[in-house]
Formats: sequence, structure tokens, C-alpha cells
Amino acid sequence: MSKLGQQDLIRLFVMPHTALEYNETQWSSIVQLLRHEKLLARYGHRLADHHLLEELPLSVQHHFNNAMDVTTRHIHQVHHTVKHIHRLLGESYQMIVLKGAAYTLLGDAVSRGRIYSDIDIWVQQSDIAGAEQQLKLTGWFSDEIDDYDDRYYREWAHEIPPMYHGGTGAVLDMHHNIVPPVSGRAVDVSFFTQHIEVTSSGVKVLSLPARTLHSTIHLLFNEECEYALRDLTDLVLMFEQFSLDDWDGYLALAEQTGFAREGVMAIALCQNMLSLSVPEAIAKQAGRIQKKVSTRALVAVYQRIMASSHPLVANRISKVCQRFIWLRGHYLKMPWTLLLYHMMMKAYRSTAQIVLGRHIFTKTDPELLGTLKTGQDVK
Amino acid sequence: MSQLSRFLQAGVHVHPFSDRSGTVLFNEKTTQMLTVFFTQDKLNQVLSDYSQQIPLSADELSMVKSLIRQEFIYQEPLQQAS
Amino acid sequence: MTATYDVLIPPFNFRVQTDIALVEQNLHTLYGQQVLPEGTLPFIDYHIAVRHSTGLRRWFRPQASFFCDQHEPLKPLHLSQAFAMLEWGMNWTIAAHELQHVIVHSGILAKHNQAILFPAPPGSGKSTMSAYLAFNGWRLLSDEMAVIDPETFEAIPFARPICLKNKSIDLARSWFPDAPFSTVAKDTHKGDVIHLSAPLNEDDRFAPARIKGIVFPKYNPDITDIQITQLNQSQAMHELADNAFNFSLMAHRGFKALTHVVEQADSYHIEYRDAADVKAFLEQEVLEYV
Repeated sequence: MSKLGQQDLIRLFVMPHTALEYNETQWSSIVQLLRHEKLLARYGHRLADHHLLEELPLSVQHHFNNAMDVTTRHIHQVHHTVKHIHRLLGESYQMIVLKGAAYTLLGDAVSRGRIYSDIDIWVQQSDIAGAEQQLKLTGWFSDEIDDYDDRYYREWAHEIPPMYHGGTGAVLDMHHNIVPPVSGRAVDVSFFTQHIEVTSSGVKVLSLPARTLHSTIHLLFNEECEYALRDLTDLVLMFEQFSLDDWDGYLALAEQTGFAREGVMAIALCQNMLSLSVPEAIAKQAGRIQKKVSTRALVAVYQRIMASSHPLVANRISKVCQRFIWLRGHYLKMPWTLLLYHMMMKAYRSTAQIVLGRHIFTKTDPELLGTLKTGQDVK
Repeated sequence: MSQLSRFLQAGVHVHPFSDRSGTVLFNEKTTQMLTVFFTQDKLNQVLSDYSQQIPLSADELSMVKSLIRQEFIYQEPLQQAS
Repeated sequence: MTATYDVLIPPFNFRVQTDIALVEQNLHTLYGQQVLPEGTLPFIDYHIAVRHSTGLRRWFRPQASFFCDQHEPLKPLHLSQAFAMLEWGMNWTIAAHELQHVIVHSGILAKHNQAILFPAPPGSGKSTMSAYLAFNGWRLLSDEMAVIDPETFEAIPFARPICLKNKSIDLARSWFPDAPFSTVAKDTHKGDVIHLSAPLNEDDRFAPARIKGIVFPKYNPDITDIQITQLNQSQAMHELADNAFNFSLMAHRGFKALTHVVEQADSYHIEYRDAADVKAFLEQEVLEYV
């Protein structure tokens, strides 16, 4: 049996019929990889849509079903939690639901089998304190975090520390931008006020091109790229919904917000890896930016790191690429003095963790099976 | 259509126990479970009285209020399905 | 040296990796014929590992870490508790992933394919009673996790060693001197614990069983006679749902399954001093003989 890898997962996404080529033992590894990449449920739906899931061995179906069930159950809880938050904040503040929760509210192709653990919302920076206060009155609280992390969030980040709901265990991330202002690349408030749509439940989310751009920035302007293939499949599923106007809107918005390069890189990655077809005019327009050597090189780096972190498939090159993207993410986000401090601090923390074991920075001791009832572990 | 089903919110499941010890409701949106120590007939009666504004006992009223507050039933009955 | 085995614990196949000799040795003692060379089973449901913690902890107060694939869900424990950690890690793995079955934190044993659930908090003497029954003609389906099929409402065996704590360790050793016991894990969050494998009967070890009773046991050394209180279905439902790990995620399938189980079973709260009294009560008054 040849070694399974990134190519198998990509082929399976683009050409689901290849599912029938694998034996049970190979499926064992594919299930393991997909679970690791948080893609088990998404692939499950894709296989089911092509009537292939029922053709697979029962042992394999079992795990796809488990994963799909988690995301299906999650839908109710997300609707419920968003309703609660919206009731609380929606009248006093401008509030937009972002990322995974927005996909779920819309119920579109990206939402099916999409796994996420936090509900992300945007409010204006000046409203953050008030909104946080309001939430704390109704059972939301913030976890204890160390001073360094708190300072990181408050001063430099585009979000505040996550809040948890005492009763339901839901996690809320409140953002005032989509990139840290300290990077100098924060987007203008108009991005959040002019590119919105309203869901059937009356909640505001970003418009399709703006959602797609946000997802693009999340993938390509971040030091973490743990779930890069999941993020890339998000993108392709959104691009596939685009009308010609949406394509124009996406590129214009990318240009306006200063993320033109990321915009075309996302298109290139989806074309190269996931066989996305793009209208000719758009391809031409994107091609002009993509010609630059540095952009092409960066696209190549990203291609290497898709679904490559699991020890089953990791290799030296993919590790180098991940390291490069981590550095680049920090470089993009931090002014130099801050970068040094941040990396030093993180370096100190990781040294301490290597010496003392990983759990030295965890303050509480969760009871062995304590978190299970709320299902928090199914991130 | 029973009184109960006219009031039930979407995603709420009901099971009246055969030993008549009570009726359990489960809301799959909030994943809350609630047992009322009334048979389903009694529950129907209480809800019917409530919707016709017939006065309820203190216990009955507090049960109805809990069911509403915890999003098992609507404040007002739904319109009869046509 | 890292050892890797396929371990067959129906309904799941595990691949277990460990670099701790104590874990390997206990695995063989408790799972015997179910421990197979790596690659024997065609499909692996879960890849788990217990390994020496890295860093200083390798030498200074050495610890063991549990992994479910690349994920480390539990905090490391002292090295001497490594095998207990593997058992708890397996529980975590199943509870965190399985949604095709309702999983209740409960002991479950059967006789004549009629099962009794024993959902009970730690300290209730549940495991001691499970051990007593399992060595006296009953079949252990599970000591900690009852696995219920949401379509048939039957219990599926997920037979794992019984986890005994503190005083019951000596008691069990005196009852069953020749049984396969693990080494003792001292001073865990549950106190001293030991694992014990129940005898297997090849004929019906994989057979599902209909749930006939739900018994909430409580050990009480101060009483003379067994005290039995029958619970009504509403009470039983609430107590049972409290112990169902994946109840909220199973949504209405879980709700439906538990209401069925409660409808088809009789439920009791029992205080007892002697496990033999519980056995007699169950066999004479709860099980049906055909």
C-alpha cells in the first residue's frame, strides 16, 4: 500500500468517486487524517451527496456519521445562542455575526459539516466595553488568562478574550476588526457597515464577497495554518456560489482593503488545488497580480502545507513551509519591537513548557470527564 | 390537535410516561429537559384553561410560566393549522 | 521502546501505542487474547497512546500522558497511574466521539440477556457490586459506560475491566484471588485504583441485551437488610439523563432512547450492605425467567 497523503484528501474532495478505490485499512488512515483536519463531517456530506457514503464499509460510515451528527446538532445550539446574543446586543449596538456561525445562520453550502467551537461576532471598537458588560450580566464570563495574554488581547489584538456562557458552555469571540489594528492593516469600519446582508432570523452577517474575503484573510494573513485545507475548502465552496457581480465585488473589496494579493492568491490556490473554475475576465484580472514571483512562491508554500501536519503525512518540506508561514504571519501582524517582545515571551513560554511539561500554564484542573456533558470537546 | 401541540415550540419533544407519573419535555435547541408531574391530559386541560384565561392554581400557573420561560411552549397558542 | 498493538474491544477497534512497560504488561494481563499484533485488524476506530511525558518530567517525578491521535485531552498523571490513565482515556475517546449510540455513565450487567443498568456516582459501591455479579453468573457488559443502540434500545457490550477503588481492592482480591488484576495505581483523583477483568463467556460475549432494570445502588454498611424503593418513570428518567454523556448531542434520538429504556425497565433505588442481597433481589424480582 502506498503512503497516503495530502493528494488523496484533495482528490477525494474534487473527485468524490475516488472514494471507492480505497480499502478498509486505507480508510482507517483517511478517517484519522480527516478528523485531524476537522474535515470529517464536510467530506461525509460530500460523499453522501454523491450517494457514495452508503457504498463505503460500515466501519467507515460510522465515523462520518458521528462527525456529521455533531455538526447537525450544533446548528440548533448556534441558532439559539445567536438569538440570545442578538436579543441582548442587537438593539443597542451594531452587531454582525462572522465566520462559522454566519454560515450556519445562512445554511449555505459552506455550513454543512463545518466544525467550529466559537461564535464570532463583530461590534464597533467603542462598543466593546458596553457589550462585554451587557453579556456579563446574563451569564457570560471570561476565563482567567495570564497577564501577558490579557495584554496581548486588549492592546494589540482585534478581539477580546473569549467569553463563555455558564449555562450552555457556548464560547463567544467578540471582534472589532478582522485583523489586529497593530498590524496597520485593519480594515475600515465601512467594511462592516456597507457589505452586509440580513438572515431570515433578522441577524446581520457580511455579504457573500465580504465573507469570502474575511475567510481569505483568515487563511492567508495568519501565523496559524493548522486547518488550512478546511479553510481552503470553505473558500472554494463560497467561490462556487459567486455570480459575476460577486466576483467583481470580491476583487474590488480586496483592493480597497489592501488585501488584493491575498485575494488573488486565494483564487489561485482554489484553481490549482481544488479545480475551481473562474470566469475568464476574473482569471485575467487575477493573473496580472499573480504573475509576481513572490506571490507565486507564496502560493506554492501554501500548497505544501494543506493537510500536512499529521505525522502520517508530514515531511521536512511541509514543516519548513509551516515555519515560514508562522514567521510571515507574525511579521505581517506585528511592528518590529512588538514582534521581538511577543516572540521572546512565547519563546520563554514554550521553553518553560518543554522543561516543565505542557500543563504548567493551565490554571484549572478539569475533572477527568468533566467537560463532556456540554460537548465542548468536539471542537 | 391537542392543546399541548398548539403551544409547543418547534424542536420540542414530549413523552407522557405510561405509569402516569408525569410528562417529560425535551427541547433539542436548548437541550433542556423538563418534567412536569402532570399527566398529558391534565397538562392539556391546564393549557386550555390558560388560553381561555380561566384562573389556574398557583402551582399550575407557575408550571405554565416555567414552560414559557424555558422556551418549551409559546405564550400564545399557534393558529389552528388549516 | 515503543510497543504498538491492535486491541479488539467490540464494538470498537483501538490501536494502542505505549513506551511504558507497566502499561504493556497490564494490557496483556487484562485484555489477554484481545491484544493483537499491530496491523491485524483491518480497520482502526481510534488511535490512542500513553507515553512518558516529555521534558524534565521524563526524570523528575515522571508522568504519563494520554493521546487520542494528536490530541491530548487529559492532564498527565504520575507514571505509576499510566495504565489507569489508558482506561480513562479510552472512556474519554468513546464519550467524546460516539454519537451513534447513547452512552450512559453506568455499570451494566446481564443475566439471560436481560440487562440491569447501575448508574451511580463514585463511592456508591457500584463497581464492587459489578465485580460480585460478574464473578457470580452474570455477564459484564461494561463497568463505566453503558452503550445503548438508539434503534433497538438494547444494550451493546463494551466489556472493559472493572475499576475498583480503595477498600474494595482488598475485598475483591479476597473474593477472586486468581482473577486478572492490574497493578495498583496509587493516589489518583479517585484514590487508589485497580482494574480487574471479568470472566468472558464465549457464547454470548457479543450479544446485545434488553434493559430490564435501572438500579441506583448505594452501599451502606450501617444497615442490616437491603432497602428497596421503586422509582416512578419520571424520577428514573431524570436520574438516567443526568448520567448520559452524550444526551444533549444525541438530541431527540437520545431522548427517545432513554424514554424507551425507562418505559421497558423497572427502576429502583437500593441501599445495601451485602451484594448477595442485591443479586437475590434482581434475580427473583426483576428478571423474567423464560
